Amino acid sequence: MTAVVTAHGVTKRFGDVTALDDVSFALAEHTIYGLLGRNGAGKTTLMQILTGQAFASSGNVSVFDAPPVENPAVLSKVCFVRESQRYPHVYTVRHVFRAARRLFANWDDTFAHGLAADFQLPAGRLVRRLSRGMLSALGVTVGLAARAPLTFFDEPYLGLDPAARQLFYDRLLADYAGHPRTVVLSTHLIDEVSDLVERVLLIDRGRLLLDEDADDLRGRAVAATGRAEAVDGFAAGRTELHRERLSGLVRSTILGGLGPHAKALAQTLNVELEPLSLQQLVVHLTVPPMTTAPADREAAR
Amino acid sequence: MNRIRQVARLQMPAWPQIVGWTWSMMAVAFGINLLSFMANYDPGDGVTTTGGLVSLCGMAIGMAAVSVTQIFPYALGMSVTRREFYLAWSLLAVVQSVVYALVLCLLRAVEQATGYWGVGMRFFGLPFMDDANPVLLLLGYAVPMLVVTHLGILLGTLHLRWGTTGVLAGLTLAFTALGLAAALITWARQWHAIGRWLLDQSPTALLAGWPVLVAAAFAVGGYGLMRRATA
Repeated sequence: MTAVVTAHGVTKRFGDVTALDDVSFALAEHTIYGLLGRNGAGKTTLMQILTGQAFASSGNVSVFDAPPVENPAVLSKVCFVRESQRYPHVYTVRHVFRAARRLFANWDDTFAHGLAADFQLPAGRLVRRLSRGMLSALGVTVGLAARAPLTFFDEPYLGLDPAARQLFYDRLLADYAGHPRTVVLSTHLIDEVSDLVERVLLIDRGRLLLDEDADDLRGRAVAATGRAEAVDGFAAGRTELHRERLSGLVRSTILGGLGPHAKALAQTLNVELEPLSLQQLVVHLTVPPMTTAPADREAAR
Repeated sequence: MNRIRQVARLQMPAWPQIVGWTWSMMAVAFGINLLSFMANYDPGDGVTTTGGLVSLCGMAIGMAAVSVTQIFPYALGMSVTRREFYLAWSLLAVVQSVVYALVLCLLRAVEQATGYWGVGMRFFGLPFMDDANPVLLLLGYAVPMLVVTHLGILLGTLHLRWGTTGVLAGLTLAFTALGLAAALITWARQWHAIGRWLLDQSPTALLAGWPVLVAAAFAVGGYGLMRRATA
């Protein structure tokens, strides 16, 4: 694997808040990554540090084998599309495209105009007068047409409706096939991108929880449903993430447990197994410890 | 250099506003001065100098500061480095100062040809530069413009780093330092010596020589602050 990005022990503090805590990972070239995590987990901060827009409190970052901060050789290969990108007051959509054409070496004007037509972006309109959805479409268009070898999308598609998001995913995949590059998608819409991303980075409260192939993760956890003793028997010796009671039955979320041995055991115990979706897995891994036990919550109902 | 030029062109969409507002304000200041001169004109009065060019300096400071705060966050998002941005804005300051200086030279020529607008009002002419050659005259206009534009960039950068508080604190510090210096000079009874030193300087040194150093100091300060700025 050729590493495009390597991060070692990256930590970022804002006063006494630790936004990133000792984060280390590598990004390979020609791969689509999903950068997942809850609001405030540190996703944007991490991408800002990787693109030289913010400064790490400690740790090392290398992008294309060099530190990205104030490094034109590195940054010329990087495009970071931010959901909260600010545009100058007087800029129209057309101005944004012209600027991008001048600043990004691989910019494809035809592709950009095709995308703008797909998203129905009005070229003459001031950016500050665009609707939320159009602003997202503008960011997505710049990010795709820049064709930067390393492209970050920080939830710019948040304002897009489902049809427009599908359009984005389709265009991204089609263009990626012709122009492979490293893409990092930060998102909450995990199920939507779960077929798109090849590898998952999961951040929670500033810490990197997962850095794994999406395919491996999909088989990583199961929901086991059955009578309490049966589920207890199945869960014994495995990591249980979550448990809930449903009318006399117990449904437990368990890490691992999709191997042939586990399947046989489940059959013997009469426990029903179903694989957990990426989104459910992420939810179970990142919810804070419960303040009330499940049984109490049930009693309160 | 090519990259710096491309980054500088990020300001292009704002030019109609920058140039338009700056010179509209100048026109208003000129018009008001002219009206009041016409109302009080007495051919025996001779020529009176107005402080009209101060409004141009004020506009240049404001426009530079606003353009930094507006465009820097966008430029950073387009993978532009802080160094590229600063050099580009410095280049823009030089170009703008020279262009404005040329316009001012032209207006000064009109002013002299019309006998100070017919009412003895010296609006565009510079004090103690009456017999300067064209090059010195151009420098006499351009260099002070360069100073105020870099001051504007510095104020804009202060805003990027620490917001309005940063700008106000910076100005307060500057006024405090200048005030203390003035008090110290008074205390040491050195005003006379300073006055004599100023009189010993040539008009060129006063309008173009020393201000270059001031512009350089603002540029060093602005660049130093911008290197740690975030969007």
